Amino acid sequence: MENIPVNLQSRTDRFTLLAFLAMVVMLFSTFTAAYLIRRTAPDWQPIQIPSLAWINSLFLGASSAALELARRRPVRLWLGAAAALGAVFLIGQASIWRLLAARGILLSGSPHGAFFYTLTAVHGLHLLGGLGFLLRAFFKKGAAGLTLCAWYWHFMGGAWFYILFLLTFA
Amino acid sequence: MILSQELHEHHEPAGFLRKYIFSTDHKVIGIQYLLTAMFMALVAAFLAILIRIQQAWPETAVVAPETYLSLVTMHGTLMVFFVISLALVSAFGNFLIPLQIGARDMAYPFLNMLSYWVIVPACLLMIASFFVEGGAAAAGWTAYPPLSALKEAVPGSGLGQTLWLLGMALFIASFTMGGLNFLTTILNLRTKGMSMMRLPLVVWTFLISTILGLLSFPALTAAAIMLLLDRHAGTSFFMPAGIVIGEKVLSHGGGTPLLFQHLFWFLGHPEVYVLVLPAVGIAFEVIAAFARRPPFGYRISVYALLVIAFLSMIVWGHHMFTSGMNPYVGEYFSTATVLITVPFAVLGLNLIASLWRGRLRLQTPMLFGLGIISAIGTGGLGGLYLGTAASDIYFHETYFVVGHFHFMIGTVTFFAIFAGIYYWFPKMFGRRMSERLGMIHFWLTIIPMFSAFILMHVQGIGGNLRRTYDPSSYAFNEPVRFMHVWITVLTFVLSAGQILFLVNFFWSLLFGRKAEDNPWEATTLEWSVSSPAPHGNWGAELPVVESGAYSYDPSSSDKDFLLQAPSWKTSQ
Repeated sequence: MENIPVNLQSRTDRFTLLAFLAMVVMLFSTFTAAYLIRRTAPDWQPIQIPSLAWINSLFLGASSAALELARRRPVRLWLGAAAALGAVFLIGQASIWRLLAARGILLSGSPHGAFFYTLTAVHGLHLLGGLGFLLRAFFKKGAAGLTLCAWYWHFMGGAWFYILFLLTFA
Repeated sequence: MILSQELHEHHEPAGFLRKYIFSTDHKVIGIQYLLTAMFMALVAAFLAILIRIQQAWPETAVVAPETYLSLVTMHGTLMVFFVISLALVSAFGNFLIPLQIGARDMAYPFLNMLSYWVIVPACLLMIASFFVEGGAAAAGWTAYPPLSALKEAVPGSGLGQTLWLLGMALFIASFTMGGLNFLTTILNLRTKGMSMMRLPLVVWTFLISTILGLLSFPALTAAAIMLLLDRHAGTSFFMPAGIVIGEKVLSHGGGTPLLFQHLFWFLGHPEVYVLVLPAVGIAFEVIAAFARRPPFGYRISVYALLVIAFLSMIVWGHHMFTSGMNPYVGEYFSTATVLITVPFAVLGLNLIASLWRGRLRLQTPMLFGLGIISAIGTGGLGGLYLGTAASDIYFHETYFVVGHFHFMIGTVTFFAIFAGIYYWFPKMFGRRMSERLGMIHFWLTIIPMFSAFILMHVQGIGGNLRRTYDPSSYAFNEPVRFMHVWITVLTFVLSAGQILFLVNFFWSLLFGRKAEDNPWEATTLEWSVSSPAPHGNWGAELPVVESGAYSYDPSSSDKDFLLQAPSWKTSQ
């Protein structure tokens, strides 16, 4: 990295991020294909997805909005808010897991439940990685990599709405 | 998009550790990958020899049946992912890309180093799995459930399979880091004047393989996550109902192993092209330099590569014709598969036409280069019968398939690895390999390889089953069974030839004749710099490319070539 000027570096980084996101698209496409095939099996029983999932989505949406504000006008407060709201979302996801487990829906047993756990876990891990980058940007000061963070974060927000739609309606 | 790089002072790292072990220099990393792949090749070849002894002389029972399953599984896994992929894509890709596009290093040198140091534990996990309880994974390199999903299915399904999955997870992580680096570097760090259509063809093949790999590996990642959950968390993504182990009915139900097969081959088929395309690229490089003329139809070859890449992602079902697939679906997969022959024939014919009116120099790299063309043609022919559902249903469970894929991802790729090593050895190590030993190595490689794999085709036509521990247990194997002994003897000859190669490699590394900067009088950028290529590649000033990758003039008898950046050397 040492040999590349800063403006070229950021263009290169953006390109790399887009390529990585293409891989994430392929990952979730594969899960989608598996989901659409698995749900045609006779043992498929749809589960009720807790409405907390929708409330939770608001936090992720708000987090994206805060990050966008922080990116446009470098205010650390907004950056902190984005990270905090993202963390609230992740805690919310864990609460949904506990709700489902309390209803007796575990990984084994219900195939629909298994997909819910798997997809939310894979998505959550991606968010956790993003959260790490947000915190790094928060403590490092300076907004050099913030655009990259924001692209990734918005993408993962969109991915969550896609997953929720898939699991609820498809 | 052509971007220039800023002039920058480059400090060579001091100290053995930073220079040779934890180096971020793409050339060192490339060589590390190459040596790792060579070591893994020895392990995988040893497994192959055990398999061959068992097939030729089953009465000796050199290994137990369950160990035999592990041998086949690990031979395939190691060869595909830890030998060929590492040597062709990671080693040559790392070594060549920055040098050939005129960059100082990869876009992310640290990530590059990380990708190598993730592959090392992956290799160790794979090797360690032979020594755990139950032995190494035994579900095939395809890891089909239920064998791979039930810990109790066969001995290798236990800890061995878990280690296999962990090793593959690390491999995918490493490939992702390496692949993103390749992609970004090729598209963003080309030097001034290096337009896409001036890239050496081998760089095009690295680019296209990388894109294929990056888009198809996530499918295996997702499948592996679901497989892990089936194994350890009691889910039923791939597990059907009614499986009985030890008189106990398992609680799994509703899943289908066919889903895993689809997901696996969605990766598995493009993966074949991830390996074969760089082999074709190396063939183009070598043939241009040793036929002393530009490759025929550069542009058409690039388009053919793109078409092959696209088609390779939509034909995975041809690995599953015998799985009870709907005949209409099979018809589609057949048609699409046979369609690939069109762009592939274009590549093959371009390679052959590149020889036309050339002034051939039959040195070792060229011999292997010609071998690649021959192997593509011979192996590709069998592909027609396997791509057509009607004939595949007969051939699928026979040695015909084994012969075919060993031609395509065995012979083609290994010839390319050898051609590449003989060709770029001077640039890697600053010394020449022995021509005489190289030529003996070539003949000791091509004769047994072609003979053995053609015999396997014949055995397949004769109906010899491919997944048998003891071929003598079926009477219908008998008419062609004697060929197993021939093939095994050929394997011994082949192994002897490879020992010769290793001797040549390490002897030349230490005592070989010092190499000039451009020993083959080739044109691409890497031959401008000194041998071995220095840290930072380009000294004070980056080269400026003034022509396409292959400025050879076969009609000139004096100096018949022009480097891509002819003025760079004098500016130093």
